[in-house]
Amino acid sequence: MSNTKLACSVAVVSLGILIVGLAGHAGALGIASVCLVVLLWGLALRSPGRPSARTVAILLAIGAALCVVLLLAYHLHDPTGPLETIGGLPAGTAMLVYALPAAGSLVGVLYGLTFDREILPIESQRRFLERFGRQ
Amino acid sequence: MEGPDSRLIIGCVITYLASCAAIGVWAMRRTATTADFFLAGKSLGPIVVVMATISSVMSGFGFVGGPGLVYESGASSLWMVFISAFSLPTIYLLTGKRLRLLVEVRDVLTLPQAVGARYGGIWPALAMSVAIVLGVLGYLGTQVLAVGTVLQAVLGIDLLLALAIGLGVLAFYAIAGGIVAGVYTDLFQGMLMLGAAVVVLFYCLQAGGGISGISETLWAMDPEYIGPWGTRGDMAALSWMLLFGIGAAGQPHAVTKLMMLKDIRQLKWSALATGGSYLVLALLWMGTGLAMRTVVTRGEYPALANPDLAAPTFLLHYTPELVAGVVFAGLLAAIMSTADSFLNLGAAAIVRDIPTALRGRPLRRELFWSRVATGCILVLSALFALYMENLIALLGTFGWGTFAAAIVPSVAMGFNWKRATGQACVASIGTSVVLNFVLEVSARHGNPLLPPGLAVGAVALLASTVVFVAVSLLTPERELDPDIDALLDL
Repeated sequence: MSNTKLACSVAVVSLGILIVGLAGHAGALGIASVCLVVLLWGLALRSPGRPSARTVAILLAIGAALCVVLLLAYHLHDPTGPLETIGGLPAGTAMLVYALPAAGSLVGVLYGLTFDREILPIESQRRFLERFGRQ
Repeated sequence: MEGPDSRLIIGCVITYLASCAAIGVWAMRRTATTADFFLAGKSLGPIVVVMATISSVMSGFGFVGGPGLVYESGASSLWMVFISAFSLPTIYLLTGKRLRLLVEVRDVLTLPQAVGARYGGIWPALAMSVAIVLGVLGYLGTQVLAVGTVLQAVLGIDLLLALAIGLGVLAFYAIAGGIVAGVYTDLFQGMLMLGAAVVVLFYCLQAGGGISGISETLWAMDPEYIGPWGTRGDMAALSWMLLFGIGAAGQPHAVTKLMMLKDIRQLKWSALATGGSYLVLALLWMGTGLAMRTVVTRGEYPALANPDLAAPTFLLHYTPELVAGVVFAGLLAAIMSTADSFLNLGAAAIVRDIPTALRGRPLRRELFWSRVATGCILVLSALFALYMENLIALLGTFGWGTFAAAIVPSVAMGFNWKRATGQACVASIGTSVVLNFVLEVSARHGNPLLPPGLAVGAVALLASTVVFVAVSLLTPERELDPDIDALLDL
């Protein structure tokens, strides 16, 4: 997928979020927002070249995990029932406080692990600075 | 706890303010060039950059407005802060590499200059400069008001006098030392607040009877309050998640920090460190708000007249004096460091970016005029803050949304997509500014144009993104300069 196709996908998903948001569908807005974040990550990773299949798979898995967290927050929250807790917090809120940061942190881990190989290979940096660097 | 006139608390705050002044003197001696003033001479290590980023992002909005929002509406606002695990690394992913490398190949010190280099022509840089100045005035007003609120609570003095004291110290170290003073106080402040967040969480749990005790009390009061969406509902919570999750890559006070890094290879683990450190600070956001609501619900403390007093009130009445003093100093530190970042951004836009866009060169005696502009912006924002009511959290969200909608398409997308054009950059910035102000003003005058809960900033961000892509595809592609072309291929 070229970056123009990805950028168009970003625009289409953004438009979709606007529509569902204005229609008052919060859940759809949440899931589509996660999709938008994943597309933007893809846009950044696609620029230097095709990211490895493993990186793409991990990004999609992180996106899927975030969607599952959102769905669980809805599913586990029952204001009419007794208090059910996970780690001391109501179960739905626990998804927000414990699971969301855990899944989201994997993006920072992925960035660090792929930095030398895919984000900015040292040889690419050297060639670029040799050709265009001011010093 | 004797109360807000405790001498130990006041001593901590005064010691901190004196430390800021001392750092200002030290930084003034290190600030010899314009590059020093705006980008700290590209000399910062990764720890300084991480601390400076989280400290400036958290700000008065996070430390004062955040607990206030939690006190007022429960878990709703936690969707702004717990997504930092991926939102802050997203800044690095979308902007870190190319903006930092751009500094190596062009004489770029500011975000509008980066936009000018990317798109060419005068209009993209000019539009970005104007958007930043407008955003800075609004966002700086939030910080100024937060400084006044904290000093008023701690010193027990009139709001005007509190503002005058805080602004005096801020003016001294920002005007004297520019960003060098800001980032080095940020390092101190960030570390202070990381430690304080953990300590204060202990006292929050103690006051609330443990996390289970807090949950049981608040569930009995209102299950929606402590449920995942809070009392503002799922639409507000999830549109804030969208705005803060993506919008982080459009916050100029965070994005420009990455341009100051000494060695670009140090970006590697800084993304994870930034997200993780911010999560620790989130404990303060969540803990003080929930604990204060718990003690009020149990009748152990009277209801607060203003939700923004949640954090100061909890610290004054439920933590030991030394802890309160240190945390108050940290609160002031975070607020003032963010204000310093905004002063720096605004001064750069006025002295360097707008003149360069219009005349092809910055003002003569740039360093001198940068300091003059910093003082003028400070006075204007103080006047703005005096006319504002206690809307720290909502004003903070508005400021965040203004920056996000204006900057994310042009910078976060534009530096990752060659087909993006200057016309699209200008159109998306114009869309974002108009939508943000029209929707916000309309809502505040009792004529909301959006469904309940849907964040204005999120709508503006989405609309400006759609406009950016559509106009890019409808306008002719410009041939890029060789270095920019290679940069976007990298």
